[in-house]
Amino acid sequence: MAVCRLMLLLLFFLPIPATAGSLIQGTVLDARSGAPLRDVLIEVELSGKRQTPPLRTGADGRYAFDLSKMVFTPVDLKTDVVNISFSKEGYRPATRIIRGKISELVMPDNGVIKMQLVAGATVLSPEEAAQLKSLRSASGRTLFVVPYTIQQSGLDADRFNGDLRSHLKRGINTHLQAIGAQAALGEVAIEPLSLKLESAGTDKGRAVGMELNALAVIGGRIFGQEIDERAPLEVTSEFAIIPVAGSFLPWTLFVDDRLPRNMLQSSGLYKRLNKIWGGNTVLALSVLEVRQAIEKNDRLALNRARSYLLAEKKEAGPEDASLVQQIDALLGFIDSELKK
Amino acid sequence: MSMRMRLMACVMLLSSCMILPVWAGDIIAFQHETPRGPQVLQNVGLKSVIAEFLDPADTGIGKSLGYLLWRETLTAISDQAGAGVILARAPEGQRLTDILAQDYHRAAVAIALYQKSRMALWGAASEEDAKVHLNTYLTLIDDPANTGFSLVLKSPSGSIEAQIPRTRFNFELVTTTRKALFERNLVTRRSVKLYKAPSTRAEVVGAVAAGAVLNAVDMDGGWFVVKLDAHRRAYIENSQVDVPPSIVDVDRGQFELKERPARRAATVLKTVLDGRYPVQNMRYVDTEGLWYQIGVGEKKGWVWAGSVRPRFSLPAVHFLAGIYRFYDRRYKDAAREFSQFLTAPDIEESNVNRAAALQLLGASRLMGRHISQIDPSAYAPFAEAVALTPYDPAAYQLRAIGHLVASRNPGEAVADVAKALSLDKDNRGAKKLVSDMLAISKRNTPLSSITRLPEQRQELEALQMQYRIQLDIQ
Repeated sequence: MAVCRLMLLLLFFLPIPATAGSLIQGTVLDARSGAPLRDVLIEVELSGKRQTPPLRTGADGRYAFDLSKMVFTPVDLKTDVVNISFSKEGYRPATRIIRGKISELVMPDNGVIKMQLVAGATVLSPEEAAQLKSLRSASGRTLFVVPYTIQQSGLDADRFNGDLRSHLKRGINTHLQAIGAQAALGEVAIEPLSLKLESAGTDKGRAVGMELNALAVIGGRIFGQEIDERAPLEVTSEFAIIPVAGSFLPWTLFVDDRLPRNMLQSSGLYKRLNKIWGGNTVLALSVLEVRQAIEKNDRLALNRARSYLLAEKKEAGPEDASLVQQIDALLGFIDSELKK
Repeated sequence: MSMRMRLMACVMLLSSCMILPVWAGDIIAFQHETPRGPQVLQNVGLKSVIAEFLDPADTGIGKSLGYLLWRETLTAISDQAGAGVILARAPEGQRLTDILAQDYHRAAVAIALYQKSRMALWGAASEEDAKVHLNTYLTLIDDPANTGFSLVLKSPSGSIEAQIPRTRFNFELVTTTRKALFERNLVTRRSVKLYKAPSTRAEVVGAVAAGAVLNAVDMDGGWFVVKLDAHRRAYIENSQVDVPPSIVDVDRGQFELKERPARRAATVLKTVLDGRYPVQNMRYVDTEGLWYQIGVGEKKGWVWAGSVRPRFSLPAVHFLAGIYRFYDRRYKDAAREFSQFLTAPDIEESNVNRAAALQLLGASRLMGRHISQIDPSAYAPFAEAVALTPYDPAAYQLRAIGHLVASRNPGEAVADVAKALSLDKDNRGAKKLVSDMLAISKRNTPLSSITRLPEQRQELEALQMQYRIQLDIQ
């Protein structure tokens, strides 16, 4: 078992050549135990169109489907964004957004998705909790960024991660300002988290996030083929929303990008991630706002959160269907609370 | 004074009238917290503030960009009376990043409000590996006396309206080079000195007459670096020159290039133009307007600026110029600028900004026209905007108006309003549209007849019931 776990761990860190084409495949695992999860519902969206009927993982947790053999038309296949949502009762939903030409689609990490149990989060050790105490966010409006690990020579990791945070801060705050949410939702702080975390979206990552009273925990990896410097780099990012509100469970978002090396300056990476991260920050802030509104029985705050979700929804394009799904779910939850 | 000297004085005076475009520009020092100091361009009705770009690495590019965009915007609106542009720059000896800290957008908007400006443009620049990366932002300041951008169908018997609600734009990252930004021709506004360094205290290395064309190769703060010859460079302060666009786009057509900037001047070349042409010179001519001298192969000649489309450094300049034109009801010019924004090469603009530009383009093509003069395909930009932002109720409301006045399809118009309400059942604009459309559908007026809304009365009443819409009395 320990050997299996070690191998699973190594899978995250080794650059894995992926199968090109419209074939999407991978494995869904329990984030804590590493066991494969069967019967996970998988919904695929391409150009705002959803595959029907939905798919499920087998007993081995595996999933595999060929986009070109599904309901999607050749026009749909010309898009470069695939949204894949994973859901199972008792687990937090997860979504993977893969960006790249469909005909050259690559599944980083062998398409592994780790889903977290809703109940029974990992407990941190007293030493870990003490280490995090001084970083705890008083307002709950802090995004903690675990430094991206870079498995690629020639990239200055410290500089990259420093630049990433400053670009993210401006990007997310100007996004909030653009949808008119900043004044009410407040400034979002972005802080580094120098903690070795295998992944932001795991049980451990979530436990750390809760200890920090974080809005979200963000992390990622960059890897590529060292032999061929012209080959693009694989950038996998994770955005784990920490607050919960009643029965609404926000997702863990995984975003896979293939980027040319010269785009890996932070301003280029920021451009690719900005909208996704801005939108998810609004979702995270809204969840926090809704939770606080329910605790204080504040209908005004619920309506305010509602208006910001609607504002965010207006920004969405056809490729943002998964985010819209989350927004609609939270809007539905707010409407049900308002009816009480 | 001899007759000859008097004649020369007249010619010079006339020349200066011919050269100087209309410009209302001013510069203020950027201030943090509460803006203070003089309010500039007080007699100018429509103003924007362009702030010096953030430049965290302190390479000077932020300052240069502020000046460049300020000057390009002045060029873009040079024929618009009552329009001006203010540049907000860091006070001497201070860094903008130190002043602005985290409040950059709020500081820019605060200054725009203080200066009674309607628009604020700002951004951030960084240089890496010979590339310049630019993030640009634009805010339209709310004016309580103005409803903002609305598409209004008006008649004596009623009106219907849809808003273009977006007022804040985070434009997509532009990656370019210093050469692409700053290498261009400049035209001196008056007799000027050229300096060895970017300072009026530096050694003077030359002088040029008014109307001279200089080749800029770079910028250093507010100074252009110009080429004297293959080996020598000099500096000229930006206020001493006009800054034409480096290229113009031309839609395929027959053109007569003139010997000088005047309609009655001799033709030097009669040819079909189609594509992109470098700008060699620029001149504003009293009663003739703005003219560009363009290069066509080995020849060059003058074209009236209104017959071509200038291509400025950043798409944001076109968007800002379009806003100026739209506010001034110069809808044809506005449509041209929004088209230029949408066709900016090598930039994947966001769905939101593209949708807004399409909506403004669509509105520009409809506004000011009688409904009978509107082409049926004029609703197409609104349809494209819906595809880009399929969850935005405002996009459907605008397309609804497009369906009513252009494609004359009231059924589709009502379907669009229904869609808007399904996305947001409390959307005021959509509810008002239902109310107004229903009112028109109940009357027997020219507006009812031309929109054919009476055919949709039942559907509109069903929407009114479903969403409990109170009817406005018109």
